[in-house]
Amino acid sequence: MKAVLDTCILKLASLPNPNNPAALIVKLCWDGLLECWASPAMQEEYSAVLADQPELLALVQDRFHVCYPLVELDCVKHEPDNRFVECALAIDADYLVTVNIARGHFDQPAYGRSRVVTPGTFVNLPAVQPMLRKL
Amino acid sequence: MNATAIVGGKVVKFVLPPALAKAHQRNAGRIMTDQEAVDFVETKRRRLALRRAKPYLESRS
Repeated sequence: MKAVLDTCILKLASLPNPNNPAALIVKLCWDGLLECWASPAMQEEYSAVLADQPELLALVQDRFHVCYPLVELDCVKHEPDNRFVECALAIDADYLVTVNIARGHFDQPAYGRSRVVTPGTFVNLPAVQPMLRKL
Repeated sequence: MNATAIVGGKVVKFVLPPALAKAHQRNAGRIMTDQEAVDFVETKRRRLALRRAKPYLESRS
């Protein structure tokens, strides 16, 4: 299963929230059960936003697959969000995981074949349950 | 170090990867709502955009 993670997901994963589905998603990636992908533009944003979390950036470098989208999109009103859609479409991702589903952001239920889901929804998907049982 | 998430109405406990364990230690006591995380990322994005635009803005002044 292929997923693209919005930067907010990594930020939330780095915090000790009592209910932390974002950290569970990163754990699935760390254990090789979930394929997470990022483009160079996304990696640049991860680096800027998570500059104070070098270990997490190292995890991204180590475990995330890199893709190189060939097209630049402007289908999302909030321009930086398009980098994530470009990556999702380039790799034909199953899911784009984000908490930012407000109007003007990831406000469509899907982009191409990639469904937009929150971390809480993602970890409750039937397709994810076999992965969770392997943890 | 462990973390928890609610899956199917049940609390699932899992071992954090070393990178996240370090991050959780560093951020001990700090939590954020989803909206606060979105705002945090947007602030950083704006700073990044301003930094990129700085040479252009300076050349115009």
